[in-house]
Amino acid sequence: MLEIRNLIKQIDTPSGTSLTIANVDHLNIRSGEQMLLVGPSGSGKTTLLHMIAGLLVPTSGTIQCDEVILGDLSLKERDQWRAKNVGYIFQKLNLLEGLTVGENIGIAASFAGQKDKKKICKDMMNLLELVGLPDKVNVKPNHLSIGEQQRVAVARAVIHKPSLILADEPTASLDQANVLIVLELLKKLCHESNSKLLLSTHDQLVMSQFEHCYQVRSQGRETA
Amino acid sequence: MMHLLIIWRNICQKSLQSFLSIAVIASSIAMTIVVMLLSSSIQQGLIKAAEPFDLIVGAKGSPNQLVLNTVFLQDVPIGNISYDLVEQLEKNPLVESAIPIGFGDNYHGFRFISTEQSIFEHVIKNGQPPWLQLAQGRKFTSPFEAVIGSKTAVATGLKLGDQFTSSHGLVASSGEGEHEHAEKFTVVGILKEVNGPYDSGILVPLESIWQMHEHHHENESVHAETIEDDEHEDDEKGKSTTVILVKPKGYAEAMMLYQQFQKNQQAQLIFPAQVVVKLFAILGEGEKILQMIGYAVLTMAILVSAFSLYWSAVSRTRERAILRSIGAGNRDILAIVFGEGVFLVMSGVITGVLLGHGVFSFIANLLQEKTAIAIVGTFSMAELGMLIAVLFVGMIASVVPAIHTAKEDVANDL
Repeated sequence: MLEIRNLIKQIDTPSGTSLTIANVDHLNIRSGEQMLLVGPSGSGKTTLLHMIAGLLVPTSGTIQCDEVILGDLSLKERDQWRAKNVGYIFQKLNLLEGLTVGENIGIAASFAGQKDKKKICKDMMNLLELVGLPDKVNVKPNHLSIGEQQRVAVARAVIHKPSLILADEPTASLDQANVLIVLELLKKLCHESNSKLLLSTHDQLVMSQFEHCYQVRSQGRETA
Repeated sequence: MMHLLIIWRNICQKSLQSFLSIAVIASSIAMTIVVMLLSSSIQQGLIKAAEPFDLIVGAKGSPNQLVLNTVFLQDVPIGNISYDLVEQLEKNPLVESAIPIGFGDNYHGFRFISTEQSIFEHVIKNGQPPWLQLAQGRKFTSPFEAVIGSKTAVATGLKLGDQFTSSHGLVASSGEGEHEHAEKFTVVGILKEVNGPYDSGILVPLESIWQMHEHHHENESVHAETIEDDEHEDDEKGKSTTVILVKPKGYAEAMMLYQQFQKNQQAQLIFPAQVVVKLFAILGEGEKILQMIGYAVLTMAILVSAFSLYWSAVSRTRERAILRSIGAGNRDILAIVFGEGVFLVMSGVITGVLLGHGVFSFIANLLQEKTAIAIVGTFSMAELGMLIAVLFVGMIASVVPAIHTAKEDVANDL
């Protein structure tokens, strides 16, 4: 289970005051649950996802994922935890341009500590079959369409079977047909691996595809 | 393995930038190596060429010209000296050997060295084998027999038993009016390589030259007078030679001989090694400037590479952010950025070393062909030190962006 309590992220402004950019009182996601994170632009959705992934340290509050309290981990431990337990998908430019599709997917498994190259290769090919791109394994990302790139990003996010998948507006750059393909894939793969999915969006089409939703409050309140 | 893959792909992805970084480092290292190798090997080549010549006695004039002419077979002789001086030196108790050497004719630009058989017994140091040794055939025993240097044999194609005629003067001239002697020389021996100017010589008995020029003067009414005929004035008066290669019995004897020649009106005695050192001191100033330019270029190249590595690393924030988001730790990022820098520096250094030695070999061959001085470049400690310094600075230049990027907050780049 992912549990977030009284989470606040503040940044210092040039005028010397603190600006709250994310504020979540309470959020729970059970294993296998798929939840939307909705809110207007600037409401702190991306900041919240970064904090959950351990890429940003909150100003206060706690994030607990299964047995692990993120605040208790050192930087190195957070990196290791993220590598094994988190799959992260962004809005665009998800892939490393220098690597092929296969390598982009494979390195995520390697960072997660998987050593069996044959197994990585097999899982990767299965995933590429699943996302409809089995013939693109040796292709560089710049030869793929945005929709294809997002499908590869989905495959990369799930190759190591993480317990938590974070998706930051993954369909924002896609046309309607691709939105549905990517969402279906995400939901299917999360369901198969019993992963928690937290997906941020402000797209009505995406919202209509999910049952659970968490509304993020508007931020931007300065405190002295 | 994963790190190496990412490093390699990053380098390939920005191939032009990577190529330029490697090219800048390689070209500056190559330039520095060429300057270093040329200066040291030319110095060694000059010293080696002068080794067989303990003392030279020649006509009064420029000692530099005397050395250039006798040791390096360059320039023109100052003038001739009487053969009587050879006989006097042979009787001198300070002298171990005195070998006359004359210049004045050539065959296709290969200089005639008219001398005596004793030159084949001449040793550089006591106990060592003779300086000039035969690879084929035998020593000359009578006039108009010739023993040719190894390079002369290769370049002219002359073989044992072949006959050829000499041309008057020291350089080949293909124009009309060239005076070719009628007498034919027969190749009786070919020398082993001595890695010096004498590889390009043609050794003949001194008597041959005397006989040729006696004949020449008898028939001078049918030949046009040339400026070079001045050299033969001495021949008319009596036997002469251009220089005498003198081996003293020891260092003290050499100094005493030098004192004796201070009073001589016709001839001078010089220490060729000293003249070479002086010549090199003059050349050394130019070499120092070249070396300084080389070091300046190298420093600039290291700085440019350092900036190039830094900006390359800084410009990839998005890639590093993605890597962090999929689980790469600080150490992974540090290893990738550092590895990329080290790869570029190492590639530049290896390419530079190969290029430097290649260019040096090319220049050395050209110089060797032109001067016949053996120019052999070896991997020196100075070169090793320079390469270690470049690698060290290059690695520091790679560490800086690596540490910088490992500390940065990647969340803003996602």
